[in-house]
Amino acid sequence: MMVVNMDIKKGRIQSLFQYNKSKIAPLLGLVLLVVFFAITSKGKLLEASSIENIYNQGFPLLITSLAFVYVMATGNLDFSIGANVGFCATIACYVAFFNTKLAFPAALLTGALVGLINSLMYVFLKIPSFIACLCMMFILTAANQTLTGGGSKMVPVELLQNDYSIVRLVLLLIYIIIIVIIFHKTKVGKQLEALGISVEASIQTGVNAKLLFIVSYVVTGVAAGLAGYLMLLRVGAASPTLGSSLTIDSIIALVLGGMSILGGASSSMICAVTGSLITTVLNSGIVLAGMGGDAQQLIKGALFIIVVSISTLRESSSKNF
Amino acid sequence: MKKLISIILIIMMILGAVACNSTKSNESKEEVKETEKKTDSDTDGEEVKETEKKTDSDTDGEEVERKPFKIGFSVWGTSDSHGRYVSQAASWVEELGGEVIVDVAQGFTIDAQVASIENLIQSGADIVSFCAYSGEAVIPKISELAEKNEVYFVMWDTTVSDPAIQEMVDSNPYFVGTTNEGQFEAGYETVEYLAEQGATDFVIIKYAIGVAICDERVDGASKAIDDLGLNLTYVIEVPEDTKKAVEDTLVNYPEVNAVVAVGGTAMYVTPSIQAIESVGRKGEVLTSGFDFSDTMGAELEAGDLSLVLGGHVVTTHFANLMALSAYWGDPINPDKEQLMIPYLTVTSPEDIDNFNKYVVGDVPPYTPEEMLDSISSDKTFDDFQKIAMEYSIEDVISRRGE
Amino acid sequence: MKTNILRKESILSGIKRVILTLLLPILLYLVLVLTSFEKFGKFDSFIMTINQSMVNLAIGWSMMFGISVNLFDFSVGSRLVLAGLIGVHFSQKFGLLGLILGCVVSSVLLGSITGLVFSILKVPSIITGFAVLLIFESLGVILSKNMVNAISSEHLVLAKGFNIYILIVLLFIFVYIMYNHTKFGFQIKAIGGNERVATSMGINTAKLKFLTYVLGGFLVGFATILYVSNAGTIQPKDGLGSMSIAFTPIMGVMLGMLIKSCNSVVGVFVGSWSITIIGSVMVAFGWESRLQNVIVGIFLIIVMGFQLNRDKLFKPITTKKNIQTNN
Repeated sequence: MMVVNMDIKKGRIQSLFQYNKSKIAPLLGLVLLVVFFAITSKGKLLEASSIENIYNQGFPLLITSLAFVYVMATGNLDFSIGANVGFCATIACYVAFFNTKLAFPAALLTGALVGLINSLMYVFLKIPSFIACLCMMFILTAANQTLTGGGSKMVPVELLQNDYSIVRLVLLLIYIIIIVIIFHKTKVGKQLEALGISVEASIQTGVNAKLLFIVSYVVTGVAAGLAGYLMLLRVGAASPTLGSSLTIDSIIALVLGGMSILGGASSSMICAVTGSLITTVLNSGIVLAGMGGDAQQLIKGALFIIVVSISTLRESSSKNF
Repeated sequence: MKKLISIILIIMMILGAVACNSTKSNESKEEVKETEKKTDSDTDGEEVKETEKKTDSDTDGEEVERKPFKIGFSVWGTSDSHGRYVSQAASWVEELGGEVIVDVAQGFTIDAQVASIENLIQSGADIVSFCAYSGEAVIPKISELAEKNEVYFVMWDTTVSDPAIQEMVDSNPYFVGTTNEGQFEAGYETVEYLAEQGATDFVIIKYAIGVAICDERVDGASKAIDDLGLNLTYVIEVPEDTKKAVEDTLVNYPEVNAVVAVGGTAMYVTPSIQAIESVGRKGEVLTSGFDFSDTMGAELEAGDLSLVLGGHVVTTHFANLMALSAYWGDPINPDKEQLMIPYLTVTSPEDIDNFNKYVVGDVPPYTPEEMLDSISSDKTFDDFQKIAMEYSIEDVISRRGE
Repeated sequence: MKTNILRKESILSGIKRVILTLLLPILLYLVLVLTSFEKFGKFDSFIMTINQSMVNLAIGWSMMFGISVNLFDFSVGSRLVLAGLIGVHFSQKFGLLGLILGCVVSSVLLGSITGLVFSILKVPSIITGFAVLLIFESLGVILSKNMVNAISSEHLVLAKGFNIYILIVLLFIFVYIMYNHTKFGFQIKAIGGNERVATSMGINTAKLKFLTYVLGGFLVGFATILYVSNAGTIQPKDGLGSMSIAFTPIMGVMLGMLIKSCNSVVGVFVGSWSITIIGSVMVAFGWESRLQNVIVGIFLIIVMGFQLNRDKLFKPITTKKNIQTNN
């Protein structure tokens, strides 16, 4: 137990430097990871085509984790976001057979609706968001499996043949600008953070808690719709498991990026960006470096611990969840 | 400050992406590939010898340049016996002067599969070898990736059934072909065999949802049940607690007398046997599975298990050979047909010992000479198919001369 | 909220409490009996549902302590699989004793390692859990390569007949005393209630959390023995596949903690049992088994919605507290 006690003392001293460290540490983790893979892959990681890969593989996570900041800032989690992505993609795929132009709004609407239901269960039925979203995840997964008939469903050929990289880029840019501005330039971000610190206190200062909770879940819902639609264009098929890993990846990305799982003042968009970059670079770099086979996951776990220890803010033990 | 960094990062990420979209980045990649090949062939003395030997024996005079290669192999996981064995079999061709990198894509998701192929191509693979486990709808995307990056691709344990997709891959010069085991027939035969033993009411355990191979086996089994006038009582899908699921099913449907797991013998059949025993119906309910397990020998001997189809590990090996022949400019399968791979059936613990020793032991069952011979230019696809169909435990033992 | 319910409870007699506690599983079992009396009217069928819940119950108890101090641990499944593989390996060499010691000792070790990573790195438990999960799953796959992963039939006795009850009762006594009648249990509940207050009371939270991991590991060890003896085999998992092992037990714990008429330790039993019966009801109705989680989920929402909305006096704020204890 000596080690633990020592660490706590060290932690107190470190807390003096925490303010700056919390911003720089995650970036340092990312940089070190990039340098490591750049060397082990003999430079392949830094090639243009490799960066294109990272962009192609990382954008869904970037989309979902940016929106996840809204929910996590209030101290809640959205366990249904991954299943929602897959569900929206499937809906968009079905709609695309009637009209390819309607596929995108359909995905957004579906996602927003799912988010709304989540928030209503939480705000009005008072069911803990953890349970509400978990149940939503089960429902969406089952619905998605039923809709896709258990197999994968190809998008209409016209969607498959067109190159949507420009559309994707534009949509992504618009989305990022909107979501960052709302969080950092309006009072919404600060109010969400306040809810994460104390709901009671925020309500006393005039924050409309119910509305903000609803907004936060609708934002993740819309993000799931956007990610679902863009992923559908990318892989060319809807499938029962599409995007299912995004839930856990988003949470991991935000915490890696330096955000507290309890929300509050540590919330920031930068967490989502650094975190999703770390996750994507790790997944991609390990293959480029030629680390395959049985030991692949082992190496990934070890690297993950190293990056975490560099990039996660060392909180004092009382905040250590 | 926070915002500044976030904006700069986003801009960097997007600019990078724009740059890649607009400029063809193939040049730099080619360079890397070439330097790599040079260093590889410098150290590979054996390779040169083999090439010489080959030209000596070739009376046709048509010279095939056996370039060093890098195969990117994508698999869903190595924790199940089939995933483990096919990954092992994929690296048998390394003895022909090349490298096989095994990437374990995370789970059965379609996005993970596409990402895995992208990463393998980026890592400098000349050939990508994979199984379209997330359904054939993923094939067009991968076909497009392969064509764009000029990388050959071959699919094992996969059948293309959609004519639109078939047309798409056939027009792709980098498509090599597919290998599969006749999953539908295997499902059909399993039911036929159990029906001969007296089974009438079936329970099927699916090991995955949305996985093509699994669905094909279930379709085959269902068709046989229909054809023979039997009953398919219940389908259990990916149970977390198999023992409980089977117990519940047996209590609810006392008429059930056969449990068919269409994959993952170790994962699903062993707990099913426990369940049958715990509801007091040991010996009354037949079980069968796909893929070999450690305990199937004892279970077969005790009569708890009736039949296991599996051992089809060479599916990846022959796929890789096929792709190599195309990469070396002398395709063994120019018409891009499907190569059939046989299932092995085992009935005794010795068979399993032999399988573990000779097929998936330390030494590959095929020597480099045998591998090269099977795709040499005087062989046709039919010859190649014949060699594949000859695969059995006895075949491997006899070729070893032991 | 708690004091209010406690006051109400004081009025209830002991018998009433027992009935209230067992109301949920009994009602659910009645559904089964109504679907088919001839299949489920038998005592054997009733006992079967209890037997089926034992593994999840043991896992649930092992997670209960962690959940009480807000530790979010994804790695339970991977530790169970790895400990199971080691236990099975030892059972082939040293018989039943090898199985028991192999599972428990390795599980305690794995729990301590997770706890150490957590206290040394000082990263959130969700991240610690994820990191060690990647490593433990991978170790399991590598370890199982040249190993027989099944347990021979003579060593399956622990999950058969009365043995399983003896094991579970012993576990129950241990968990009950640890949770309710020790300083450790008191301090854990203090941290769960309010960590800052607990720290100011002089409780060494870092040490307590580490010990929670160790204790969790010890209990997972017994859950592993039951898991392995029940299925007769243990298979490695990769690609986060081991995470789903803890899913049903978590639901059981959540449900159990809602039942206010009894102690949490008993509650987890009732919760796990109820969820087991729901699984059986699904099969009895002939519904597709993929819908099982949906039904369990909707069931949880209904039960929770009812529990939490019984008293309309509370503002939505109170849900906030619930979330934190559930984390």
